[in-house]
Amino acid sequence: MQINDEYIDELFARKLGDMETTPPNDGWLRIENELNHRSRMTRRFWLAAASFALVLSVAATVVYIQTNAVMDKDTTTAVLEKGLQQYKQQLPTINNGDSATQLEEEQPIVLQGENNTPQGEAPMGTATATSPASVDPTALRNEDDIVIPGTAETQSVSTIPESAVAVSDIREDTEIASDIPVYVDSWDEILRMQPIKANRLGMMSNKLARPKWEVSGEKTEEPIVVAMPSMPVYDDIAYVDATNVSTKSQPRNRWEITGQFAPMYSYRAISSVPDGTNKSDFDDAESPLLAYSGGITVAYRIFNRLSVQTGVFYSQMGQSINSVTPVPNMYITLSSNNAYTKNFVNTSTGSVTVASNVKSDANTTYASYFNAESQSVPANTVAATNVSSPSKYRLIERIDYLEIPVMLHYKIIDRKLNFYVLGGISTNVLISNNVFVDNGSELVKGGSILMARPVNYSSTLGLGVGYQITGNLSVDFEPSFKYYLQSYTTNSQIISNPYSFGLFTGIIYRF
Amino acid sequence: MTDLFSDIVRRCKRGDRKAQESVYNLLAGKMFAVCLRYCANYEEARDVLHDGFITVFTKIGQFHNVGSFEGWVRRIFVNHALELYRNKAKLTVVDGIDDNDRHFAAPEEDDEWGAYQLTEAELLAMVDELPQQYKIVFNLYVIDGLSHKEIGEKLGIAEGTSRSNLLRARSILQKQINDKVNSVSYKKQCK
Repeated sequence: MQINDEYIDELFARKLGDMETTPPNDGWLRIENELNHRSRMTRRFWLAAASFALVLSVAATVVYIQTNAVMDKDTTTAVLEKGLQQYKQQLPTINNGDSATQLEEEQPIVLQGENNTPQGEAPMGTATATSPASVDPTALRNEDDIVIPGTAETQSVSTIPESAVAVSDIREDTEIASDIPVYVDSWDEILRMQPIKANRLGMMSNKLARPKWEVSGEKTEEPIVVAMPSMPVYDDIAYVDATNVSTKSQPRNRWEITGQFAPMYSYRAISSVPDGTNKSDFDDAESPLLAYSGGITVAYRIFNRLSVQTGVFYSQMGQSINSVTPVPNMYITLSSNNAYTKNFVNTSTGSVTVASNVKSDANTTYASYFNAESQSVPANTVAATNVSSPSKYRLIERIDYLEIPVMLHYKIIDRKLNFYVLGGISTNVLISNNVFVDNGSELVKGGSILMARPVNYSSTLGLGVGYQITGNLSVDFEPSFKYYLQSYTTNSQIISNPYSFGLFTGIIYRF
Repeated sequence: MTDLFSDIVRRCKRGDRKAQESVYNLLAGKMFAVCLRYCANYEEARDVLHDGFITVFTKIGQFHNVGSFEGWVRRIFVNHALELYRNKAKLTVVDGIDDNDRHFAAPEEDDEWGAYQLTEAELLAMVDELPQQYKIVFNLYVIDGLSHKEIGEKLGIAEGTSRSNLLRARSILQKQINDKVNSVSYKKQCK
């Protein structure tokens, strides 16, 4: 009887369909190890993500608080403007009689002669100003200490002296002699005053210039301005010696967010090798890798020139191993010690596995030009005798880190074009560890570095130049050198420290 | 079988390592046989077994208790083996014709009973000797029940190529079975 197709199909389907066979002894152990490793990596990833989220949350909170403060100021300005309008309706003419003369003589200005009462004792319906000369400037740090003088009825005002300069006309580059009277022509100007103006105007910083609200006449729901901005009271205040008044001007734009990217030159420095091996063998067979890095940093300005920054970066590291030779498995079988050699390539970073999917055929395995750690016969010797035409392959080891830096950043020149130095340490969490095989025509992923260190630490030193495009936006160029404190692997007999050199470019936003 | 696995699967979804080990112990034998059928050698099969179980345990959340759990796992292993084959095919130029590509004549004397006496290991060894692409097409069509159209899509080959590969695989197996059952030692063994 001839076996027909259907019978063959049925025979194989029945017998092989539910066939069971003994799996490898270490099957579950290997799976369990990898599952544990993945769990650890997942935990680290979420930890890093949580840290980053925390940093962002803190930054967002600070921004929110600052924004609210600005809004509060704007609201105050609106109320003041409203009060000013009300006042103007009540008091069409303003008399500012003797301010200019008094100012020139630097005499105390008492604006409201009739109702001048001691500070803090202003009766309802009146407000009192204490002239600069009669008040200890340090006592004026609290806004509650400032009492705007007079009611509408008691103001003694006339026209503003011709020599007086309006605050709104003062710019940062304006130089005004100290004997020139300055008057405030807008409440808005008071609140928006720049530090230079605040200095010129003495205690009229944003905070101190806020008047204490006193109601003229009966108390009403709406506050009423009891002194016009253009009144000499402010001219007087302008002559308070600013050096004696604490005007704590907070540096603006303390926060920075930077996005950076860099091509990286990555290699390693071998500091010691085991007996019987030569450092030069590794240097001959291995070469640097061109990789890249990119990420986001958040910086906080501690002082005018000094910032501390952190963030999250993705950093590639690695090297390439040249002259990797496919070797017949026959050699491996005959070898007295084949456990370490089969599908393994020894490099300065330790051992690399080459997955079976990249083998050119089932009878071939890989070996490096040197086998320092295995102390076996150099594979190239075998290849020369057992392989008729050995082709050279190249392995690329690539380690991907999630980097969390903590850096100090100091501006040497703090101008529109600024120069700075930076330095600090980074925690590098291993994301992936891959070995690629370059067979001359394409790059195939397969294999990994054994016992790769899950967390490594690095130190960074860099120089940078930045250019301010607008008030909040800058670009920077930052060459930096990074040196890892530990080798890639935990078990290598060769002590090596990876390092990289990167040319970072980025965009900075200040807020 | 679904009931047997339902509780274990639930625990596996929570990441229970003991439950995962139970799944491995229950299915590793069958899945390793699947790997051996599809892979070129023992090492590849071992790698596919490893990668397959990692995928099973990391993607188990995607199994919604619809259909057989074992069938879902088996598909993962078959897909892993095929992925390995496709990756490997990128590196190695597979010759379209080799010594095994010739048509073999039908056996002169066939004995179905004798063939039935062949053990699983002997049949597996015969399948293992097939050229890789024939082996995969034969496994997919005969044992895992895929159509030629589906095989063509999975392997990126024409439907006609799949048919041709299957015919050649059958021819080779037919000859091997004939040689085996007609061998003197085998006849003695059967007696």
